[in-house]
Amino acid sequence: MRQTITKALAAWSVVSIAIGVTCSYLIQRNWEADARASILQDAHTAALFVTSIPQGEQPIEASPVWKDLQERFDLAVLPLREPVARTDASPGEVGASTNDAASSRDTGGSSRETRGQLDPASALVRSGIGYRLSVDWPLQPSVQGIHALRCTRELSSPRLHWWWLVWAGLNAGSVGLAFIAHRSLTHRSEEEASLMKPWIDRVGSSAASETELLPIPDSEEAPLGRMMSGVGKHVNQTYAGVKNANDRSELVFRNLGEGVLAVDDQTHVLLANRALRRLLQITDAEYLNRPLLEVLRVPTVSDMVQFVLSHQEQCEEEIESGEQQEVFMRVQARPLPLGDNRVGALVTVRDETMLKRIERIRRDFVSNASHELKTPLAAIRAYAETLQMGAVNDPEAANRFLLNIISQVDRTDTLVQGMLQLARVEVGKTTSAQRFDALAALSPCIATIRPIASGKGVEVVEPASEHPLWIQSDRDGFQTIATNLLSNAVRYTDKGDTVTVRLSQESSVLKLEVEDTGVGIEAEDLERIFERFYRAHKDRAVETGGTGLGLAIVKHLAHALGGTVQANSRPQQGSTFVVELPVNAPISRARTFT
Amino acid sequence: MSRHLKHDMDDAYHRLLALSGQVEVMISTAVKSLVEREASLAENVIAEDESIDRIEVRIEEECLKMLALHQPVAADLRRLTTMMKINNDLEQIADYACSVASRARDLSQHSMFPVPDLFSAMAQETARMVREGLNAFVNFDLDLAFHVIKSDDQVDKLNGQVIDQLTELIQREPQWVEPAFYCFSAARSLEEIADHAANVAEDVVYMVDGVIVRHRHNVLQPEAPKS
Repeated sequence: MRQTITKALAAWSVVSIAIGVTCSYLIQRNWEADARASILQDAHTAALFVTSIPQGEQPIEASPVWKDLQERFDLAVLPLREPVARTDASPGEVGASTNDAASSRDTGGSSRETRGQLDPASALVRSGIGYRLSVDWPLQPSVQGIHALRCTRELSSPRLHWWWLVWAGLNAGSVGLAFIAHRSLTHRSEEEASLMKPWIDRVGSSAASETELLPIPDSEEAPLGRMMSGVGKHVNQTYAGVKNANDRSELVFRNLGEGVLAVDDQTHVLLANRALRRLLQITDAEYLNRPLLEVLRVPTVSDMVQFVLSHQEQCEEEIESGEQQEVFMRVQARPLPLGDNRVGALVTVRDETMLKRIERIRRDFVSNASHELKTPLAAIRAYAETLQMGAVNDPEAANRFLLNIISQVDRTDTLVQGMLQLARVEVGKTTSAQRFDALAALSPCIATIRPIASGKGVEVVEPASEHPLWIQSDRDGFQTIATNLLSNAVRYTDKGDTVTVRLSQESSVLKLEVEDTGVGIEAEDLERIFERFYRAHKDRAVETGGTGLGLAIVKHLAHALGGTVQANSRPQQGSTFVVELPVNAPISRARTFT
Repeated sequence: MSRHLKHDMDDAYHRLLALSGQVEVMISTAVKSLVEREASLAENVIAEDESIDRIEVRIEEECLKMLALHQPVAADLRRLTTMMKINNDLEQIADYACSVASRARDLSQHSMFPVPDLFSAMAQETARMVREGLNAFVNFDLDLAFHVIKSDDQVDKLNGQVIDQLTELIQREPQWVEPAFYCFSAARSLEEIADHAANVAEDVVYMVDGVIVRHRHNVLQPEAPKS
């Protein structure tokens, strides 16, 4: 409201200035015209209006009296000069002084001129209008009571002064009112600003808060303060809501197992969650808003993004990554609407390494199982069919066949158990670290094999160490390794041979050695004995229930426990198997080996 | 930099990055084909060489065109010449990766040959050098570039150890001479790849700092930046 009044007053000032200037001009012109007309019509005044120009004066208008005088007396229009000193005549006696001066003149002509100055006051009296003028008249004795006026200056009216005064007063009043209204308004604003200043300073100097965007102003007295308080509360509530939703999304995103990557239509990275950065090895901290190729140089992903951006269709690929490409990933890319008719791309990456490994193990297991089980199953079938065909009637043959069937079943069972154990080791489900005494863990393994060894006449020499040998590893795994090595050693030795077990610790490595003086292993077999189902001496293995899986299990377990296994042998002289395990095992997944 | 030069340079730059991604995949595939004796993987790598050569020529032509048309100076000139050199290095790395793949193809007929364990370690270190050299180029990272240059010594050392292992194997079991030779050749190719990765890192140092550090064998840390 106040601003409206201020604007109105300012507009009135402008309008009134325009009106004032226009009226002044019109009044000036009219009054001048009236004044001129009045002088020109005055029977006692000979008036000549002239202009004053640099080259001299030019007559504009002459009164009829002047014209008459000029004709009769040849009045000269003389240039205006500085008026001479006044005569002694008092104001109002111009006529007399004129006549006196005139009487001293020669009658012959106008060789001598007397000039005087008409008192403007008398002129004022005469005409009733205010003049400012200089007067120059030639004096003629015969012309009495005639005053020649040559008006060379613009006329102005005293009324004009009143008009100017009134107009100036009105304008001054308007300006004054406008100033007062403005001051009142700004004073109010300044007051409110001074109340809000502490709050504004606080907002400006404080760091962004986690909980609220705008602190609420302290001054709720001023209307502005109350409004700001309301706005601040609303903003903070909205901000809190948005922040919570954002935090939830962020949490979900961060903990997604799947990698997610979003790029815009110019392939600039919009977001990349932690899983994606881990899977695709993005180590660069500054990846946001950078072109995809600068952040990630995997050709398949770049090609998929380009395909999506150009064809607006989704696509899917499998890729291998990581050192020596051990990580298998399934990548899907689809269009991502960005608004404003722009479309980017959304890429999801799923780690299928475990899936692939399990798939491979399953495939191998199935093919191995079908292969290895065929033989005993075929034997069982053969014996059963023979019994069915009549051998059952022969008690001795029947008994023998049945014993063979039982033996084959046992073998099958051992085979299946071994395959299952190997599968478990390959998947990596055997890992658990505990601190145990390796020497103490070895004892039951030796105790188990000793009867079998004794039965064959094979001597088993235990490790000589007296004090415990502590190791942080998988106890069951260690015992399985020891059992399998001992079992093999006894299997491939004969009467009189020796199986020696040594256990020692060198720096941070535990060393288990199983040495036998048995049949040994040929060189061409030595490289293959750790393969699944490979048996160097097949006949002996079959006789003694060997499945060909023992050393494969040993190798996988050793690797899973962070160690190594090596075999050395001389045919007919014996073999030595050395397993080295770290004392503090970094338990890791078993790697697959052919 | 004028708008046209920036546009052309970005175009060539992204082509170069795409090429580098392809070359990195070639290296890892070639090594995998050797370690796992997968001849089909080796064939895939060898088949890619032709497209790498075409892309390298294309990038070089674009860079030469930029030099002629825009006549860049100072930092722009250094960046452009570095891109040309890295383009060339990548093509040579791809050639050596194909050499590894060829040896892998030959070695696939000797599935029982025990590839030395250190060969895998050497391959990993080489691939890491290539990756980090290119990361240094993308990020103008001087520290990383100097780290890559120093890593070349490590690869040279591993190469020596692999040769020693192979020599010992041949002496012990002479029937492995032929596959050992293939393996030795592959190791040499990896060592050359590592050298080129170090070249890339040296080019990055030039691009960022304007200093040519090639043939300086005692480079230990970045020099103070020029004012």
